[in-house]
Amino acid sequence: MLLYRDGDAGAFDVLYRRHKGGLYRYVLRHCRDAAAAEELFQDVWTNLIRARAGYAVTAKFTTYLYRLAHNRLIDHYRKHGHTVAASFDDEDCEELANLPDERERPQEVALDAQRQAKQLLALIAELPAPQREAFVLQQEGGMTVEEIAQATGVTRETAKSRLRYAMAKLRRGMGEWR
Amino acid sequence: MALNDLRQGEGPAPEERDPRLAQLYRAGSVEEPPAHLDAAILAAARREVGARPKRLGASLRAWRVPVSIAAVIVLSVSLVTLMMEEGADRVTGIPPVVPPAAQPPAPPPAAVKPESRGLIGGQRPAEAAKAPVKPTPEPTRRAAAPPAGPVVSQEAPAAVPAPGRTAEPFPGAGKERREADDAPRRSAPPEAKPDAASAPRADHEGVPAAPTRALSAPPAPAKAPAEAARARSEAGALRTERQAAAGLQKSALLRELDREPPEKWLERIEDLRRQGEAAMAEEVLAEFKRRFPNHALPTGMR
Repeated sequence: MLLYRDGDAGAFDVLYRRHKGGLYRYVLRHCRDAAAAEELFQDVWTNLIRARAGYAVTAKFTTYLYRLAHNRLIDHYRKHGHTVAASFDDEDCEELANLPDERERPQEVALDAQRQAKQLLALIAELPAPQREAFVLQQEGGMTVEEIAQATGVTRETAKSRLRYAMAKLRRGMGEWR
Repeated sequence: MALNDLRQGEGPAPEERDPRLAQLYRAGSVEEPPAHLDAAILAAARREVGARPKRLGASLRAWRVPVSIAAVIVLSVSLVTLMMEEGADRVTGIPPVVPPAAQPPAPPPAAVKPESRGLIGGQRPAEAAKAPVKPTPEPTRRAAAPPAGPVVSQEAPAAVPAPGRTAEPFPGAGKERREADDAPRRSAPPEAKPDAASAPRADHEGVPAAPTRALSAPPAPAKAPAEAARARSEAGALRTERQAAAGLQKSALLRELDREPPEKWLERIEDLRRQGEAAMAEEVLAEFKRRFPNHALPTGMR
């Protein structure tokens, strides 16, 4: 990004190829609508391009990029009166103690990986937005808990909690495929 | 295979990372942005970088205002300097002109010979030097102005009084005339005051007349009194020198004729008249009559 800031257009190509898929999927997981996802995806990159001149290294580029995307998503939700925006503020925190441990479940049905993946994506879509975001950021951005907290503007503990809830729900949902 | 086979204590807690979930997620996450979106975003990025010369242009634009101001200042200073130089030349070469209504009446020229003033007053020095001694009518513009003092060019062979001037005692005539001519200079100090109202006096007292162009030129308010005073003092010095030269010429002529017979005197008077120096001829004739009262005069000299 520093190279691009200094005028190297080729550096942006590399940057885009590296992050376009993850970012697109991150947006898509939230919108569930391909058209809106494309619009938001383009907006995020446009904002990044416009912010080129003032870019300074304050965090990992991935964190910076997903922070832009997170903010754009929040704006999108608020603009469209989406209830998801409110859900970012309302923690959907079930007691972890009440969640079943999928590792103890017997794997009764074995299905192919593709079907399992589809099931996982369906479970992800059903997650509360903050938890879904935390999980997707971990998977698509390869972020740690600290980086997720930084990208979403919450404390580390909040990010960690979201991630744990997401994992627990997904494990529980995938338990039948074990 | 278990979904979560990470052991406790290695990296993130098991509840924070699950390789099986990650593997399944990667297997199912194959969505990519459409190609047209890629092209649009990459094009926008290149445009932004391609706009870099515009940033250079923007920096140049930022310098436009200071450069323009500097150019205006330089031009203004150059113009003002040029105008001041030209203005100084004009003021030095041209005495300021004040409307006649503002001219104070000239002091009575008690010590200045009126006939001498009337002779060539108002003429330019070069004209006075070349012109034969004869009464010259004043220009209409100066008709109401007091007559100017005698102006005799240094190059002029002689400056002689006007015809009809009363005879004066020959031996002391030069001295008396010098004293009379010096009188205006003794009374010069009041004129020399840097007074704008007295500035036109310089023109009437024999200062080289201003070109017609100068009549319409506006007087420089700050420099006019000083320039007028300087012009008057220069004119006075010039007039004194010319008067002295004329007196010396007449004295030399009289000394030349001092031991000559009356016929030689008459011949010389005739020569002077033929040369157009009527005033000098009249003075010599007056001296001849004083020295040779009984000598018969030719018909034209009576």
